[in-house]
Amino acid sequence: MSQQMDVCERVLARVDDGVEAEVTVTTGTEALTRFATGFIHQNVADEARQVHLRVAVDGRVAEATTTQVSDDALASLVRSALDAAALQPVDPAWPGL
Amino acid sequence: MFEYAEAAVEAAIAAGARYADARVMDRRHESMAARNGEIEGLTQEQSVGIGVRALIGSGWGFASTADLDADSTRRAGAEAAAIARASASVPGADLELTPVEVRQDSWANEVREDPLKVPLAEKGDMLVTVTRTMKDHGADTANAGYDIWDTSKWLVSSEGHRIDQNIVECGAHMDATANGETETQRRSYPGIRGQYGTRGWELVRELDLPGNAARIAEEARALLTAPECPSHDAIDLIIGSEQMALQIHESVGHAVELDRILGWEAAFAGTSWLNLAQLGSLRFGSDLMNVTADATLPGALGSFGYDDEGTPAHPVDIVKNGIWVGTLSGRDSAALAGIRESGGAVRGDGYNRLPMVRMTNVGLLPGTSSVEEMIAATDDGILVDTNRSWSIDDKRLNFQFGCEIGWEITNGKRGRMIRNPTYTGIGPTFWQSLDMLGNESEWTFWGTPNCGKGQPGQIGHTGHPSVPCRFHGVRVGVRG
Repeated sequence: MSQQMDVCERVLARVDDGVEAEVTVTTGTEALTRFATGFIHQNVADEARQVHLRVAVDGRVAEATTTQVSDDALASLVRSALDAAALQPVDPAWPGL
Repeated sequence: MFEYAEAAVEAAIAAGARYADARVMDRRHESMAARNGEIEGLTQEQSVGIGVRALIGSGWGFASTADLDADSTRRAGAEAAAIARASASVPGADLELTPVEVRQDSWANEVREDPLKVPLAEKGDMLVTVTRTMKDHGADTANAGYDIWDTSKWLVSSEGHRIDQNIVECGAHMDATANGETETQRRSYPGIRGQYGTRGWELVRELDLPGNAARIAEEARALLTAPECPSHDAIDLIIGSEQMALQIHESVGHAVELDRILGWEAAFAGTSWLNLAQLGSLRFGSDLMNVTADATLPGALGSFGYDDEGTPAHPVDIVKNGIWVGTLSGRDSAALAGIRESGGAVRGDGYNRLPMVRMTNVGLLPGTSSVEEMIAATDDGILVDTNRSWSIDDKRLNFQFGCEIGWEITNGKRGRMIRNPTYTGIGPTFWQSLDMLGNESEWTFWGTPNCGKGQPGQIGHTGHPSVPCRFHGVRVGVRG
């Protein structure tokens, strides 16, 4: 199993039954070089990672994101998304995940 | 967290860097929005990682990673040095760093009420309530929202800096839009972007959104039938402090960014009409114009203890008695320009963005006049406030701005409300026409939480201390 899939599974394992959940883990390397006035004034690289969770609780949909994959960080991610869902109005057109 | 930054700096130096710094950053962002009495969205994000800068010869390298462990952070340090070596293969002018006192310190802004600990339900109820109130008082569309940022940083440099900071920022906004037959009118409170600062939730409570919701909805409705702003080639113009904040941001703040003046941002953000050869002699505005960049102002959105190079926050004179005397700078840009010390204006938007020159709190020092005195002293003029639109060229010289609301001023009295007020000008000509300056009781530290700059894009949080001002002979009511 890839590291990304492992993170997805660890997030889903923290979501209670009855809650719809979708996890996306995005990783990659981004780099950019900028030239100005005849020299390189910026030369940057980023090993990017983002974990995005979308949950739906009885038609109340919410999202949360983090860059971290520790157990604490993933538990916090799930908690944030569920807390946010509780505040959302029910989407009557929600088709389900 | 310091241990990760230290490992990264050690790795960069071991890989050949002559200077390196590393910044671990943990930022939480919470944002909620409501429309027409319902919650529209709630964003909760956490971004944690490390960014490393390395300097080899005259070449900078930057590398970042979200993996906070010893191996990953050392790898980021070595990569920053490898990138710096590549940059140095296309050498520019000799690049030095202005000296800065090496400090080991902790800093945090004052927070009376932690905004992330205020229950989500309470914050949501406030937004729902004010949008319902605006709907009940004539708004066809009512929006409200807030943003909270809680940022912790740990900076280590090869010179010995070891600084941690915790910066809490928050603020809120709301707006009411009324639809007419041929146009819409909007009123925002307290400004087009709301109001933000380096403060806790007490700032949002002081804004009193519920107490202003009905008024702005009624004003939006009233604007639909207000007369159009008349066109004048030259008239006295009184500008409220919120619009003045935007005027300062666009026509002074960006123009004095040293990276723009040096041409480094020409490819994207633009350059500046200012020429370093005229620093200290160029007349930017009238004698009343005194502008500082001061990151020490308590509660202002552009405040901090240290910038991302470890330079302590300090006030910098930008325009003194109308003469251009200073820039927004960092250690490398200041050295290249022959400026003695860094302006302490280098910040990065997140761990994975290269720190660059950003505005701190760029604003006007107050004068002695009240708005009522400005009105009483004006025979024929226009009073405008609350930014609605902005346009300025890439040298930050020619501009045209629109405001949400205006009033005619005749024989020293405020007259009819007018809609769609606009004005235009050329930076130094406009600022030299400043002839009345608001007093300290009207000095407001406006916050702009959405200043875009850089590639990859970075969002900066800037402050703009501002007062109402009167300008003589301004072109208003521009059409087409």
